[in-house]
Amino acid sequence: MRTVTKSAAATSLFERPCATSSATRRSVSVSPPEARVRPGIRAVVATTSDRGLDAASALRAAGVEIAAVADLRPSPGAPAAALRAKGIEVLAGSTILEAQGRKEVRAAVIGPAGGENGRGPREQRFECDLVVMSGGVAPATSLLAQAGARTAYDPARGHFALRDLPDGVHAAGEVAGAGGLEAIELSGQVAGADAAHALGFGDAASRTRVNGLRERQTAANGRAAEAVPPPVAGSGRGKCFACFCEDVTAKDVHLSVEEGYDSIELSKRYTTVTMGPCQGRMCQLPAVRLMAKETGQDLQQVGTTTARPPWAAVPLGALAGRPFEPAKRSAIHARHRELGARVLWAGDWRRAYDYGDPQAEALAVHEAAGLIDVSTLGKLIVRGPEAGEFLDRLYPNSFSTLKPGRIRYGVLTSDAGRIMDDGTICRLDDETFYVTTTSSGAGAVEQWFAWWLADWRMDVRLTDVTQGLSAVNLAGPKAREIMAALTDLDCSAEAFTYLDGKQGRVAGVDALILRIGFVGEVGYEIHFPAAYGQDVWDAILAAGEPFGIKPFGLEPQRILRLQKQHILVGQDTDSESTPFGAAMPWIVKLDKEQDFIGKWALEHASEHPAETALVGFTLPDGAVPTEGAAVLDDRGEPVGQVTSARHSRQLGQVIGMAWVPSPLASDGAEFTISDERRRLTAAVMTKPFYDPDGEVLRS
Amino acid sequence: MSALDFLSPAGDAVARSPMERLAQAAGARFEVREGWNVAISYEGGSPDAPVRWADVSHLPKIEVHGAHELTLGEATRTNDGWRCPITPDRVLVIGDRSADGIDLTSSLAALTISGPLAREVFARFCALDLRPRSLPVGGFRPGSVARTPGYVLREDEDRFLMLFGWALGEYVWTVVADAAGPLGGRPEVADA
Repeated sequence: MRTVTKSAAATSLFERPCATSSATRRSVSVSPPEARVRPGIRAVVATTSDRGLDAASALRAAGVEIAAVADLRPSPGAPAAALRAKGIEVLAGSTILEAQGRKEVRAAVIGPAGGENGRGPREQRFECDLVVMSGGVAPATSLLAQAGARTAYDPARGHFALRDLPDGVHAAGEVAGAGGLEAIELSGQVAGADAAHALGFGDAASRTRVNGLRERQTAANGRAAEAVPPPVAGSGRGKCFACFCEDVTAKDVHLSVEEGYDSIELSKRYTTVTMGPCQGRMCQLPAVRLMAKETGQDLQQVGTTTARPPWAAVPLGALAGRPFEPAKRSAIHARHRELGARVLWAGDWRRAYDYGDPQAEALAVHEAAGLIDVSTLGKLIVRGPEAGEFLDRLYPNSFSTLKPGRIRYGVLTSDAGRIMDDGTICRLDDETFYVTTTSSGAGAVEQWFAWWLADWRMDVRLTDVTQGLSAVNLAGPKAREIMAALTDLDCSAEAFTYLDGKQGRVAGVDALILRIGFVGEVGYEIHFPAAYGQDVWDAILAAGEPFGIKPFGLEPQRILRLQKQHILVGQDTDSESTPFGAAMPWIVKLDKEQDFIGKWALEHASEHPAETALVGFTLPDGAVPTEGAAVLDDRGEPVGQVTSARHSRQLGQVIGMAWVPSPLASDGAEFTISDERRRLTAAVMTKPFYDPDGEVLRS
Repeated sequence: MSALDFLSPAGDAVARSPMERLAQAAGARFEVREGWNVAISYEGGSPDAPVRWADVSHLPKIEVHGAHELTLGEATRTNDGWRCPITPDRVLVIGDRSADGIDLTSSLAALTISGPLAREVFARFCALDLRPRSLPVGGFRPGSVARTPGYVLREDEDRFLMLFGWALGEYVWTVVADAAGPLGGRPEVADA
């Protein structure tokens, strides 16, 4: 191993944004040195130097209309004349005061900097969909600072510049203060030669040559004047983001000082400013300027935060990589597209949300039959002599007692007794279980199982087959007849009962068929190799066509499951929900022989009733509350929230689920929902809205 | 019928790779062979392309559990394919349908990437060190492939087998085509 004793760093500069009021950060960017793409249609550019003017020219060349350029300098540089010659308005002594628009930029307000509350007479509003800001540059000194370099505030340039370098460390280029291509090149030659001389290379002649280079560099070192932006331009008009990564606003910095965190290091820890992925590249100087404004200190007194390793480069992929999303698609995905499905993200999967009319799709499930692709469900094979005991340790109910060919519902709880996931478990033979999980929870459950398996060292093998199997749910009053046309299995109600799991051929393919009913009708969940996904889907639709089968998507499935008050983990539960609060005390078998994860916490929960309970509700007036709307008590204080709500065409009413104070968890009890200025009165219904006794499901 | 027969793609229907449609869009003609719809030619195929990729998702892949003598990181060639150690008690057998284990054929999609620029293509979406000194012929590495979990096996000097999640087939094909295209890469049939 060799130790580096001399080094030269050429880490260049960072572009800084202006700290300005903005209701959105979308379509707000720092100025690109070169624009080869068209990031917007109409832009407003705010700058403190020629860099912004050059960016405006580049954007114009890329086809972006420039609504206006605000240059903080009283006398903008030469490029301003070129812009004006093209008919672009360049407003001297101005900056951007506000970016308007809710989800994206709609307009920008430009005016003199430093205006406090209220609009000034010289302010102008420009409609635009892109705001480009160049709030000056700052040398990228962090690596050098980690090596022991010190910086000092340079009021002429408005940033912290290198002051002292430790022995053996050299700097070149813009980080060392060089400006202009010639000076930058010369500074590189000088730094390299200095390092070589320090190592003992060279002679008197080479030193003379380097001194000559140094003089040439000084002479060539030209940098156009820059204006120093104020800490906040146009304050008092909504959020003013100082840190784009961590959403830290000027108000947050103000509050940190009020709370006593009145140094930049303390404020950093309080607000997390400079702690985001950009490592302070964009926000360090605005944060220091804000701190100086709040404390009355000058910038040198405020100083900078400590540079700490690792100093990560911006990945080239982030700048130039193609934005391919690692989307998971079921083997039936293309068919959904062909059937006109609206496809949306569901976790890392692309899923059919509906096929145009979710209510009609839900009705078809009640009236004839529906088919939904549920391939996204997590699927695990748990196998081994101790597989049953392994599951008994993980779940609050028992699986070692489950007979082969039967299915049991399972709610997975954490060691704190909170609901993590749910799904069905089918025992395939004495040593083999087939575990399904929620679509979004598949990865976490597999890790959870693997973690405990490693800890307990049981004779169990775990294999994730989530992507290896397609799964479809055929449900509805005609589902049995359709199944009979596709398989040799006896599908009669007597031979294939609710919660049976059987293997057989479906449409010529070996499959595992689970008789379960998430959507509340007679249903068969068919699991088979993904390589057959498309063909089996086609075969089921073809067999069901005489019966009126229709494909249905995620949204109708949500309506259907809500009618049954079947929970969606993560939607109707949160990280504090226990099975007791979620109206599933029956699933917790505290008296079972096997100890299990979360038992102690669940014992505690069973002895101390939850303050809130998950209940179903109906709304007589037809209004569908927003999911997340507050449940209010008599004093108008929030005491719970709506987790799910839909209109059900089948039931002809609005139904939902909500967490309410436990005393209200009885049929007929009324509670108030506050939803976007509306007050709605809901009535509790603790049993499923559809088929409350499960007669249809089990038939 | 064994408990896990339903995992094996051995039915009467036509088995399809998750990349079939993209191969078709790239000019593939198909034929059903041993139950699988496989590409048998590409329009304008260029066998001399400096890098080529082929969909071999139909290869049997069986996960065998139990202690083994293989060295982690080194696959062993068999008559039909490869035995790839994943953990000290887990081996992925590729190409041998008779292996006794859990059938992952439909869980893992597969592409071969071959030709003198194969490593250059990998470098554009995979950080695994595929230099011969790190991954000689027979070398087998689990790791991140195009930002998803996968495996890479060096089958020959200029030929790599890449395994990844079935549901990600379309995505991975797109990434590989994007990386290989500017280098003159072309898709090819599996047995070319």
